[in-house]
Amino acid sequence: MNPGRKEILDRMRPAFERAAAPYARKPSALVAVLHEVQAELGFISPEAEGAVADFLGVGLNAVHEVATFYTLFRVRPGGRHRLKVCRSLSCDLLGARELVEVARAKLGIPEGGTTADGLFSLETVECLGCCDKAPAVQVDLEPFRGPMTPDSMSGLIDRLAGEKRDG
Amino acid sequence: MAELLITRHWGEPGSHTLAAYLAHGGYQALRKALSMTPEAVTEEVKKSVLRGRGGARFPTGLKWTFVPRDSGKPVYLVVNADEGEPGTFKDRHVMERSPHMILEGMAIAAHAIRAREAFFYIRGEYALPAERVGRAIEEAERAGYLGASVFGSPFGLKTTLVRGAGAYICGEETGLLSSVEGGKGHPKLKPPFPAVSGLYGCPTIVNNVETLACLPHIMTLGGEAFAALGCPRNGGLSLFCVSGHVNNPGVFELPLGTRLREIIAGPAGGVRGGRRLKAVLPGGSSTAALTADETDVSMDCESLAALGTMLGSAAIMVMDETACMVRAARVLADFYAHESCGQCTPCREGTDWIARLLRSIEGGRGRPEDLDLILDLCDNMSGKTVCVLADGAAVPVSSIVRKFRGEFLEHLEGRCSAGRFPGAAEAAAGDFAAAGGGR
Repeated sequence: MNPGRKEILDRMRPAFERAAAPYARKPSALVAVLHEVQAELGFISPEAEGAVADFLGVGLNAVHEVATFYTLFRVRPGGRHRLKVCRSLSCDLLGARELVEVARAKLGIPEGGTTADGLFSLETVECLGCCDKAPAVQVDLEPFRGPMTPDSMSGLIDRLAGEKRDG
Repeated sequence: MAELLITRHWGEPGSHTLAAYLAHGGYQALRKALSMTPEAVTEEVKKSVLRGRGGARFPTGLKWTFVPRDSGKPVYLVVNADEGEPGTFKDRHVMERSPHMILEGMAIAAHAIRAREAFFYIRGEYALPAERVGRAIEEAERAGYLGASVFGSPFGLKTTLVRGAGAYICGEETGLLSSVEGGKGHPKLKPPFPAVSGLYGCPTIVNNVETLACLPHIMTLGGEAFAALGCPRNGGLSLFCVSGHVNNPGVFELPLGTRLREIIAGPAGGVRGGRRLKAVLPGGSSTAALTADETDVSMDCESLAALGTMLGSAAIMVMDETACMVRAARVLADFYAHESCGQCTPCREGTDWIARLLRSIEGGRGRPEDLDLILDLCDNMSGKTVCVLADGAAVPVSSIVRKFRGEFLEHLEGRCSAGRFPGAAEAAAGDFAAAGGGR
């Protein structure tokens, strides 16, 4: 059961206030506040969109259109780790597709899918800005990794899965 | 070999800290700029022939002069760190290794345009750069290089770090401003240009990270000396990003006017595995491809324009003989289809249509007439939209279709001399469709 609109607003109000503080015009803080929501809840639920709309004094539509415009925001629950494989030209030239194939086979999910244990989502993304280390991968918002090989991709997934078991 | 400017201390650990920056004379250029009038600073930058390093290559000093003096509104400075052009990664390195150089340039620019508030907009994926820049802002404010009173002078600058959330279009300056205002990154029709009516309808200058990082050096060396480091009409050294099929990909600081072939063979270590060069995108993904025969060219705006391409963000993407140009065109088309913001019909529909046509050709399901259809679609996108994303999509695709037509004809017959047929194309097609075609 997702937390409700009022519950989210009550709980997150201090974080929202901090995120909005630099902006003289409150609606400008929308992207910053959505970052807070996603960091806290893992995704931006309809209830959270409502809480943000209430906080900023803007319409629900204004929040939803922004939450669905940017690729880093997700409006549905996903895996605890987002495995993002860059698919733009320099990474594609140097084997990004093979990395995706390894991850698909190992995790048993298609691109855009989430594993049944909720640990991983597999995404292909456009240029990460790490072409000097192509093919590049980003886990969540960690520093970029590369150049990756099918072996190092496989090892990365093992390590992340192991952290879960140990933690 | 010219002296290095931006990258000079990148080999030193801790180069991103204030202490390291001050040890190399940091913020003295700002002190000098503040002793000059805004007009004198602008004049020096004009003399430097610095042109915007984000890709548009518009003269920076001239851009500043478009800010009206009598609007009665606040003037804003916005730092464009939404680096997203495929092949481009220089601004990330500058933010990670020399964030104070950008901040010093930002303060110099703010003084020149009489701005008292700045927004530093960093793409959402750049978490480490944002952390470094955020810490640098705190350090600089504490030390009095930014904040309410810079060097104890009446000049002050409030700086807000803004994190994007994943959208190439926010690198377009009006799209970026829409995002700072809290909305979708939809570009706005120009004119009015941001210098006249930008953020919140106020005069706004948007400058790229590398552009700003050049300013302390222009103040220190003098505009003419900076200009002399480059070539006529293209001032200074430039950060060239080289990626793709080379032995030593990376960021290289070289004079504008260095020959493309020499950059690939020299600092970039040559084509990987001694293979033959096939094609190069010389200025990022939005620039027309050059064939191997066209790479003996000077990397400056005018020489590249003469070949029908652009310097753009100086991001050189190298493809050797193993690259399938049909696939390369499809990968590029996928990018623009994914990143089109959707507000203009020619771009929203055209980018997606081209990507689908290329995918069917790549997979051997294309029709001969599709090639001319793609070129026709490219013609009908260029210049018909609010921003230049559609042009950026059309240019590389049409150049590849024209220059490598033979490879497309092979795919129509179910062959690929680069050995990429039928291969992974079908798998990729299925995935992309499953992922909602990008949205």
